[in-house]
Amino acid sequence: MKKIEGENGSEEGEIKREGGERKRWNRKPERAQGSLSLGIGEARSFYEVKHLQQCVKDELIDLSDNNNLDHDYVYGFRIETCVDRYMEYDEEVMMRAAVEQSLFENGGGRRPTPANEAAIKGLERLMIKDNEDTNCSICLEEFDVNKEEKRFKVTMPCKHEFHESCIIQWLHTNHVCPLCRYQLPVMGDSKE
Amino acid sequence: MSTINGSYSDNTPSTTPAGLPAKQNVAPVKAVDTQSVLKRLQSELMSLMMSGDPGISAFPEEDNIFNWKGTIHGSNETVFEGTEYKLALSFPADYPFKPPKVKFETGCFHPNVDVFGNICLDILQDKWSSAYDVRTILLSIQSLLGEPNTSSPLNTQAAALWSNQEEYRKMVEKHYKPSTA
Repeated sequence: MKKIEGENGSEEGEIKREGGERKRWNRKPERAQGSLSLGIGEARSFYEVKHLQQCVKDELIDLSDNNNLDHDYVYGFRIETCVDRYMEYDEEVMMRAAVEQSLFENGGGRRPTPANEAAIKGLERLMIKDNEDTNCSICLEEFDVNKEEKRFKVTMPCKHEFHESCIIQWLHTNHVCPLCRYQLPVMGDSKE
Repeated sequence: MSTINGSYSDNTPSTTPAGLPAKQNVAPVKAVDTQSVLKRLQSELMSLMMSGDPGISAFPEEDNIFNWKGTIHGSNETVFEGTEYKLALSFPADYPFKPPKVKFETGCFHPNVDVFGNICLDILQDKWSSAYDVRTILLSIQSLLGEPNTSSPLNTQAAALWSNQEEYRKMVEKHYKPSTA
Protein backbone atom coordinates (compact mmCIF):
# COMPACT_ATOMS: atom_id res chain seq x y z
CA MET A 1 0.00 0.00 0.00
CA LYS A 2 2.73 2.41 0.91
CA LYS A 3 4.38 2.27 -2.45
CA ILE A 4 1.21 3.22 -4.23
CA GLU A 5 0.54 6.09 -1.91
CA GLY A 6 4.03 7.41 -2.39
CA GLU A 7 3.88 7.12 -6.10
CA ASN A 8 0.68 8.65 -7.20
CA GLY A 9 -1.30 9.80 -4.23
CA SER A 10 -3.49 7.46 -2.26
CA GLU A 11 -5.88 5.10 -3.99
CA GLU A 12 -8.71 7.02 -2.50
CA GLY A 13 -7.47 10.13 -4.15
CA GLU A 14 -7.16 8.44 -7.49
CA ILE A 15 -10.62 7.06 -7.44
CA LYS A 16 -12.17 10.20 -6.13
CA ARG A 17 -10.88 12.01 -9.16
CA GLU A 18 -11.82 9.34 -11.69
CA GLY A 19 -15.06 8.06 -10.29
CA GLY A 20 -16.55 11.23 -8.93
CA GLU A 21 -18.28 10.57 -5.63
CA ARG A 22 -16.28 9.86 -2.55
CA LYS A 23 -18.97 7.94 -0.74
CA ARG A 24 -19.22 5.33 -3.45
CA TRP A 25 -15.54 4.66 -3.23
CA ASN A 26 -15.73 4.32 0.52
CA ARG A 27 -17.98 1.35 0.12
CA LYS A 28 -15.11 -0.67 -1.20
CA PRO A 29 -15.58 -4.25 0.00
CA GLU A 30 -13.05 -5.95 2.24
CA ARG A 31 -12.28 -8.60 -0.33
CA ALA A 32 -10.88 -6.14 -2.78
CA GLN A 33 -8.87 -4.44 -0.05
CA GLY A 34 -7.27 -7.71 0.94
CA SER A 35 -6.37 -8.63 -2.61
CA LEU A 36 -4.89 -5.26 -3.28
CA SER A 37 -2.60 -5.35 -0.27
CA LEU A 38 -1.59 -8.87 -1.08
CA GLY A 39 -0.67 -8.02 -4.62
CA ILE A 40 1.39 -5.03 -3.71
CA GLY A 41 3.10 -6.81 -0.85
CA GLU A 42 4.35 -9.38 -3.31
CA ALA A 43 5.53 -6.87 -5.83
CA ARG A 44 9.24 -6.84 -6.33
CA SER A 45 10.18 -3.80 -8.34
CA PHE A 46 9.17 -0.28 -9.06
CA TYR A 47 8.04 -1.32 -12.53
CA GLU A 48 5.83 -4.05 -11.19
CA VAL A 49 4.23 -1.74 -8.67
CA LYS A 50 3.56 0.83 -11.37
CA HIS A 51 2.14 -1.85 -13.58
CA LEU A 52 -0.17 -3.23 -10.94
CA GLN A 53 -1.22 0.26 -10.01
CA GLN A 54 -2.22 1.02 -13.58
CA CYS A 55 -3.94 -2.30 -13.88
CA VAL A 56 -6.02 -1.74 -10.75
CA LYS A 57 -6.78 1.80 -11.78
CA ASP A 58 -8.02 0.74 -15.20
CA GLU A 59 -10.26 -1.85 -13.62
CA LEU A 60 -11.71 0.70 -11.25
CA ILE A 61 -12.30 3.27 -13.94
CA ASP A 62 -13.92 0.60 -16.02
CA LEU A 63 -16.12 -0.36 -13.10
CA SER A 64 -17.18 3.16 -12.36
CA ASP A 65 -17.97 3.75 -16.04
CA ASN A 66 -20.18 0.71 -16.00
CA ASN A 67 -21.95 1.76 -12.83
CA ASN A 68 -20.86 -1.45 -11.26
CA LEU A 69 -19.56 0.10 -8.09
CA ASP A 70 -22.61 -0.95 -6.17
CA HIS A 71 -22.10 -4.59 -6.91
CA ASP A 72 -19.64 -5.67 -4.30
CA TYR A 73 -19.24 -9.09 -5.75
CA VAL A 74 -18.34 -7.90 -9.21
CA TYR A 75 -16.08 -5.30 -7.71
CA GLY A 76 -14.18 -7.75 -5.57
CA PHE A 77 -14.02 -10.33 -8.29
CA ARG A 78 -12.68 -8.01 -10.94
CA ILE A 79 -9.93 -6.69 -8.74
CA GLU A 80 -8.89 -10.16 -7.72
CA THR A 81 -8.81 -11.30 -11.31
CA CYS A 82 -6.54 -8.44 -12.12
CA VAL A 83 -4.20 -9.07 -9.21
CA ASP A 84 -4.13 -12.80 -9.79
CA ARG A 85 -3.17 -12.31 -13.36
CA TYR A 86 -0.49 -9.90 -12.34
CA MET A 87 0.97 -12.20 -9.74
CA GLU A 88 1.05 -15.46 -11.58
CA TYR A 89 2.26 -14.65 -15.04
CA ASP A 90 4.95 -12.68 -16.70
CA GLU A 91 3.91 -9.87 -18.94
CA GLU A 92 3.71 -11.78 -22.18
CA VAL A 93 1.56 -14.54 -20.77
CA MET A 94 -0.55 -11.93 -19.07
CA MET A 95 -1.16 -10.17 -22.34
CA ARG A 96 -2.04 -13.44 -23.95
CA ALA A 97 -4.44 -14.18 -21.13
CA ALA A 98 -6.08 -10.82 -21.71
CA VAL A 99 -6.42 -11.50 -25.41
CA GLU A 100 -7.76 -14.92 -24.67
CA GLN A 101 -10.24 -13.51 -22.23
CA SER A 102 -11.56 -10.94 -24.65
CA LEU A 103 -11.79 -13.43 -27.49
CA PHE A 104 -13.18 -16.44 -25.79
CA GLU A 105 -15.19 -15.23 -22.87
CA ASN A 106 -18.69 -14.76 -24.10
CA GLY A 107 -17.65 -12.96 -27.25
CA GLY A 108 -15.67 -10.37 -25.34
CA GLY A 109 -15.85 -6.86 -26.71
CA ARG A 110 -16.50 -8.08 -30.21
CA ARG A 111 -20.01 -9.28 -29.69
CA PRO A 112 -22.13 -9.10 -32.85
CA THR A 113 -24.88 -6.49 -33.08
CA PRO A 114 -28.51 -7.64 -33.32
CA ALA A 115 -30.84 -6.27 -35.97
CA ASN A 116 -33.45 -3.80 -34.84
CA GLU A 117 -37.00 -4.93 -34.18
CA ALA A 118 -38.60 -2.81 -36.86
CA ALA A 119 -36.34 -4.28 -39.51
CA ILE A 120 -37.07 -7.80 -38.33
CA LYS A 121 -40.82 -7.20 -38.31
CA GLY A 122 -40.66 -5.68 -41.78
CA LEU A 123 -39.25 -8.82 -43.38
CA GLU A 124 -41.30 -10.64 -46.01
CA ARG A 125 -43.01 -13.61 -44.40
CA LEU A 126 -44.69 -16.40 -46.34
CA MET A 127 -46.39 -19.63 -45.46
CA ILE A 128 -44.56 -22.57 -46.97
CA LYS A 129 -46.94 -23.95 -49.59
CA ASP A 130 -45.28 -26.89 -51.24
CA ASN A 131 -42.38 -29.02 -50.24
CA GLU A 132 -39.38 -27.32 -51.63
CA ASP A 133 -36.18 -28.94 -52.56
CA THR A 134 -34.13 -26.47 -50.61
CA ASN A 135 -32.98 -26.35 -47.02
CA CYS A 136 -32.89 -23.66 -44.42
CA SER A 137 -29.18 -22.98 -43.94
CA ILE A 138 -29.63 -22.39 -40.23
CA CYS A 139 -31.32 -25.61 -39.08
CA LEU A 140 -30.32 -27.51 -42.25
CA GLU A 141 -33.85 -28.89 -42.52
CA GLU A 142 -36.00 -28.73 -45.65
CA PHE A 143 -38.74 -26.22 -46.17
CA ASP A 144 -41.44 -28.73 -45.46
CA VAL A 145 -45.12 -27.85 -45.55
CA ASN A 146 -45.87 -30.57 -43.02
CA LYS A 147 -43.67 -29.21 -40.29
CA GLU A 148 -46.07 -27.70 -37.80
CA GLU A 149 -43.54 -25.56 -35.98
CA LYS A 150 -41.84 -24.32 -39.14
CA ARG A 151 -44.69 -23.33 -41.42
CA PHE A 152 -43.39 -19.91 -42.31
CA LYS A 153 -40.34 -18.82 -44.16
CA VAL A 154 -38.84 -15.37 -44.29
CA THR A 155 -37.15 -13.78 -47.27
CA MET A 156 -34.35 -11.37 -46.50
CA PRO A 157 -33.85 -8.28 -48.71
CA CYS A 158 -30.95 -10.18 -50.30
CA LYS A 159 -33.51 -12.87 -51.32
CA HIS A 160 -32.08 -15.55 -49.06
CA GLU A 161 -34.77 -17.61 -47.39
CA PHE A 162 -34.86 -19.17 -43.94
CA HIS A 163 -37.42 -20.63 -41.58
CA GLU A 164 -39.01 -17.77 -39.78
CA SER A 165 -38.11 -19.01 -36.31
CA CYS A 166 -34.52 -19.71 -37.39
CA ILE A 167 -33.76 -16.35 -38.97
CA ILE A 168 -35.45 -14.38 -36.21
CA GLN A 169 -33.36 -16.02 -33.55
CA TRP A 170 -30.27 -15.37 -35.63
CA LEU A 171 -31.12 -11.71 -36.24
CA HIS A 172 -31.50 -11.25 -32.51
CA THR A 173 -27.88 -12.28 -32.28
CA ASN A 174 -26.46 -10.69 -35.40
CA HIS A 175 -27.93 -8.33 -38.00
CA VAL A 176 -26.27 -9.87 -41.05
CA CYS A 177 -27.61 -12.48 -43.45
CA PRO A 178 -26.04 -15.83 -42.53
CA LEU A 179 -25.31 -16.54 -46.18
CA CYS A 180 -24.12 -13.27 -47.70
CA ARG A 181 -23.69 -10.86 -44.76
CA TYR A 182 -26.28 -8.45 -46.13
CA GLN A 183 -26.78 -6.02 -43.26
CA LEU A 184 -30.14 -5.24 -41.73
CA PRO A 185 -30.42 -2.03 -39.69
CA VAL A 186 -29.11 -2.53 -36.16
CA MET A 187 -30.64 -1.55 -32.85
CA GLY A 188 -30.31 2.16 -32.46
CA ASP A 189 -30.54 2.88 -36.19
CA SER A 190 -34.17 3.81 -35.68
CA LYS A 191 -36.72 3.70 -32.91
CA GLU A 192 -38.81 0.60 -32.69
CA MET B 1 -28.25 -28.09 -21.02
CA SER B 2 -27.37 -25.24 -18.75
CA THR B 3 -24.24 -27.02 -17.59
CA ILE B 4 -22.86 -26.92 -21.08
CA ASN B 5 -21.64 -23.46 -21.83
CA GLY B 6 -24.05 -21.79 -19.51
CA SER B 7 -22.51 -18.45 -20.29
CA TYR B 8 -23.37 -18.84 -23.95
CA SER B 9 -27.11 -18.80 -23.53
CA ASP B 10 -27.27 -15.70 -21.40
CA ASN B 11 -28.07 -13.21 -24.09
CA THR B 12 -30.27 -15.11 -26.47
CA PRO B 13 -33.59 -13.34 -26.75
CA SER B 14 -36.71 -15.38 -27.01
CA THR B 15 -39.01 -15.33 -29.97
CA THR B 16 -42.67 -16.00 -30.47
CA PRO B 17 -44.12 -18.13 -33.26
CA ALA B 18 -45.91 -15.18 -34.77
CA GLY B 19 -42.61 -13.53 -35.50
CA LEU B 20 -43.15 -10.87 -32.93
CA PRO B 21 -40.18 -11.24 -30.68
CA ALA B 22 -40.82 -10.86 -26.99
CA LYS B 23 -38.00 -8.43 -26.68
CA GLN B 24 -36.55 -7.23 -23.46
CA ASN B 25 -33.57 -5.04 -23.05
CA VAL B 26 -31.28 -7.70 -21.67
CA ALA B 27 -33.13 -10.91 -22.30
CA PRO B 28 -33.03 -13.57 -19.60
CA VAL B 29 -31.77 -17.06 -20.25
CA LYS B 30 -33.87 -18.66 -22.89
CA ALA B 31 -35.25 -22.14 -22.68
CA VAL B 32 -33.00 -23.66 -25.29
CA ASP B 33 -34.44 -26.03 -27.81
CA THR B 34 -32.01 -28.89 -27.27
CA GLN B 35 -33.86 -31.06 -29.71
CA SER B 36 -33.16 -28.78 -32.64
CA VAL B 37 -29.48 -28.51 -31.71
CA LEU B 38 -29.23 -32.29 -31.62
CA LYS B 39 -30.96 -32.51 -34.97
CA ARG B 40 -28.62 -30.03 -36.53
CA LEU B 41 -25.51 -31.74 -35.14
CA GLN B 42 -26.70 -35.11 -36.38
CA SER B 43 -27.40 -33.64 -39.77
CA GLU B 44 -23.89 -32.15 -39.85
CA LEU B 45 -22.35 -35.45 -38.89
CA MET B 46 -24.16 -37.16 -41.73
CA SER B 47 -23.09 -34.69 -44.37
CA LEU B 48 -19.53 -34.56 -43.05
CA MET B 49 -19.26 -38.32 -43.37
CA MET B 50 -20.81 -38.27 -46.83
CA SER B 51 -18.71 -35.41 -48.16
CA GLY B 52 -15.38 -37.18 -47.75
CA ASP B 53 -13.33 -34.03 -47.82
CA PRO B 54 -9.70 -34.97 -47.88
CA GLY B 55 -7.65 -33.84 -44.93
CA ILE B 56 -10.44 -33.12 -42.47
CA SER B 57 -12.60 -35.27 -40.25
CA ALA B 58 -14.63 -34.95 -37.08
CA PHE B 59 -16.71 -37.13 -34.83
CA PRO B 60 -18.64 -36.64 -31.60
CA GLU B 61 -17.24 -37.97 -28.37
CA GLU B 62 -18.76 -41.20 -27.21
CA ASP B 63 -20.97 -39.83 -24.49
CA ASN B 64 -21.68 -36.29 -25.57
CA ILE B 65 -22.73 -35.08 -28.99
CA PHE B 66 -21.97 -31.50 -27.90
CA ASN B 67 -18.26 -32.30 -27.82
CA TRP B 68 -16.50 -33.35 -30.99
CA LYS B 69 -12.96 -34.28 -31.86
CA GLY B 70 -11.70 -33.08 -35.21
CA THR B 71 -8.62 -33.79 -37.27
CA ILE B 72 -6.91 -31.57 -39.80
CA HIS B 73 -4.06 -32.51 -42.09
CA GLY B 74 -1.60 -29.81 -43.05
CA SER B 75 -2.10 -29.05 -46.74
CA ASN B 76 0.46 -30.10 -49.29
CA GLU B 77 2.85 -27.43 -50.49
CA THR B 78 2.73 -25.72 -47.12
CA VAL B 79 5.12 -25.88 -44.17
CA PHE B 80 2.48 -27.98 -42.42
CA GLU B 81 2.54 -30.72 -45.05
CA GLY B 82 2.62 -34.17 -43.49
CA THR B 83 1.43 -33.04 -40.07
CA GLU B 84 -1.88 -33.90 -38.46
CA TYR B 85 -3.64 -31.88 -35.79
CA LYS B 86 -6.32 -32.87 -33.34
CA LEU B 87 -8.91 -30.31 -32.36
CA ALA B 88 -11.62 -30.15 -29.73
CA LEU B 89 -14.96 -28.61 -30.71
CA SER B 90 -17.47 -27.79 -28.04
CA PHE B 91 -20.93 -26.69 -29.11
CA PRO B 92 -23.01 -24.27 -27.06
CA ALA B 93 -26.60 -25.08 -26.21
CA ASP B 94 -27.72 -22.37 -28.63
CA TYR B 95 -25.67 -23.60 -31.56
CA PRO B 96 -25.68 -22.61 -34.44
CA PHE B 97 -26.61 -19.14 -33.24
CA LYS B 98 -23.35 -19.04 -31.34
CA PRO B 99 -20.12 -20.56 -32.64
CA PRO B 100 -18.58 -23.66 -31.13
CA LYS B 101 -15.40 -23.26 -29.11
CA VAL B 102 -12.58 -24.75 -31.10
CA LYS B 103 -9.11 -25.48 -29.76
CA PHE B 104 -6.04 -27.28 -30.99
CA GLU B 105 -5.25 -30.31 -28.87
CA THR B 106 -2.06 -31.01 -30.75
CA GLY B 107 0.55 -28.30 -30.26
CA CYS B 108 0.63 -26.09 -33.33
CA PHE B 109 3.34 -23.56 -34.08
CA HIS B 110 1.28 -20.99 -35.89
CA PRO B 111 0.93 -17.19 -35.74
CA ASN B 112 -2.78 -17.41 -34.93
CA VAL B 113 -2.65 -20.23 -32.40
CA ASP B 114 -1.49 -19.63 -28.85
CA VAL B 115 0.29 -21.95 -26.46
CA PHE B 116 -3.03 -23.12 -25.06
CA GLY B 117 -4.32 -24.14 -28.48
CA ASN B 118 -6.71 -21.20 -28.76
CA ILE B 119 -7.29 -20.08 -32.32
CA CYS B 120 -7.69 -16.50 -33.44
CA LEU B 121 -10.01 -16.82 -36.41
CA ASP B 122 -12.73 -14.29 -37.09
CA ILE B 123 -15.38 -16.79 -38.15
CA LEU B 124 -15.11 -18.42 -34.73
CA GLN B 125 -15.75 -15.07 -33.09
CA ASP B 126 -17.48 -11.96 -34.39
CA LYS B 127 -17.75 -13.17 -37.99
CA TRP B 128 -19.54 -16.35 -37.04
CA SER B 129 -22.59 -17.16 -39.14
CA SER B 130 -25.28 -19.71 -38.34
CA ALA B 131 -24.81 -21.04 -41.86
CA TYR B 132 -21.29 -22.23 -41.04
CA ASP B 133 -20.84 -25.78 -39.88
CA VAL B 134 -18.16 -28.16 -38.68
CA ARG B 135 -17.04 -28.78 -42.23
CA THR B 136 -16.54 -25.12 -43.09
CA ILE B 137 -14.84 -24.52 -39.73
CA LEU B 138 -12.34 -27.30 -40.28
CA LEU B 139 -11.70 -26.22 -43.87
CA SER B 140 -11.18 -22.65 -42.68
CA ILE B 141 -8.70 -23.72 -40.03
CA GLN B 142 -6.94 -25.89 -42.57
CA SER B 143 -6.51 -22.94 -44.89
CA LEU B 144 -5.55 -20.70 -41.97
CA LEU B 145 -2.58 -23.00 -41.40
CA GLY B 146 -1.13 -22.15 -44.79
CA GLU B 147 -2.33 -18.56 -44.86
CA PRO B 148 -1.84 -17.06 -41.41
CA ASN B 149 -2.76 -13.54 -40.48
CA THR B 150 0.62 -12.29 -39.32
CA SER B 151 -0.54 -8.77 -38.56
CA SER B 152 -2.38 -9.67 -35.34
CA PRO B 153 -0.64 -12.77 -34.07
CA LEU B 154 -1.20 -14.73 -30.88
CA ASN B 155 2.22 -16.30 -31.36
CA THR B 156 4.55 -13.43 -32.19
CA GLN B 157 7.55 -15.70 -32.64
CA ALA B 158 5.74 -17.69 -35.30
CA ALA B 159 4.57 -14.52 -37.01
CA ALA B 160 8.10 -13.13 -37.14
CA LEU B 161 9.47 -16.36 -38.56
CA TRP B 162 6.75 -16.85 -41.18
CA SER B 163 8.69 -15.00 -43.89
CA ASN B 164 11.46 -17.58 -43.61
CA GLN B 165 9.62 -20.71 -44.69
CA GLU B 166 12.63 -22.98 -44.45
CA GLU B 167 13.31 -22.08 -40.82
CA TYR B 168 9.59 -22.13 -40.13
CA ARG B 169 9.31 -25.71 -41.31
CA LYS B 170 12.01 -26.66 -38.83
CA MET B 171 10.04 -25.07 -36.01
CA VAL B 172 6.87 -26.86 -37.12
CA GLU B 173 8.73 -30.15 -36.90
CA LYS B 174 10.29 -29.22 -33.58
CA HIS B 175 6.94 -28.31 -32.01
CA TYR B 176 5.02 -31.14 -33.60
CA LYS B 177 4.01 -33.82 -31.15
CA PRO B 178 1.49 -36.08 -32.84
CA SER B 179 -1.00 -37.62 -30.49
CA THR B 180 -0.70 -41.33 -29.97
CA ALA B 181 -4.42 -41.79 -29.60
